[in-house]
Amino acid sequence: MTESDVERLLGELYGQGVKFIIIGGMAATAQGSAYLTADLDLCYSRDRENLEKLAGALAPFHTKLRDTPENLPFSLDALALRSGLNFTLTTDFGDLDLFGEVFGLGSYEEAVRFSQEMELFAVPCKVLTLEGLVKTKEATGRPKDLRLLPELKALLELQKSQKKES
Amino acid sequence: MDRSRDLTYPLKEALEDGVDLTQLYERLRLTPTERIKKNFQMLQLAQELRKAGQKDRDGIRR
Repeated sequence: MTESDVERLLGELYGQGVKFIIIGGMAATAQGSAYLTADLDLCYSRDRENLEKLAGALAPFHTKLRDTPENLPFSLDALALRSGLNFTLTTDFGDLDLFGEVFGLGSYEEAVRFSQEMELFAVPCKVLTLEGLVKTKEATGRPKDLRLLPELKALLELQKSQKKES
Repeated sequence: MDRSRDLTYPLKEALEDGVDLTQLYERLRLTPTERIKKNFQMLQLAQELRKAGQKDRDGIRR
């Protein structure tokens, strides 16, 4: 995945009016994390209209389920999205994970309370806040998530002191 | 110069956990888009280094 892939995908999602929140490593990067990530994780709203829009937005990217036999028939349409919840996908540009529910936060409607709007590549996007990222990492409790916590908490502290100064 | 005495508790804890605060200060000066661009630049650098290392190892084996 490259930055232009991210730019193109975000543009497509926004253009189609998809309701999504950037979560995971890319959200942490947008918030100031120095950890490197090549993956894009999104939390999506599961209302019927949004599933149609999401499927439409991803159609140009030839999405497939990751780590499945090559000949397994799969089409990421609204029905497939409705039948599952979280999807680990591979696309023309790299790995994309879709979450109908975020560990520690819940559905899109609950996670959106822990999101903020940021302009990424001139596209207005909802991005998980540092508080939201800390909450999810603490909830999953995996070693790779817990490793990020000191940095995320430091960023939160720096953000708070910046707000106090302004 | 030891500036750690001026830091609040979460920042002191982060330092002790090995977080490089100078990188965070640098990232916070960038816009969110610039942060993502920097991420991909660093990923590309890491990939180049990995390739160079592999070439080197292949050379040694021969």
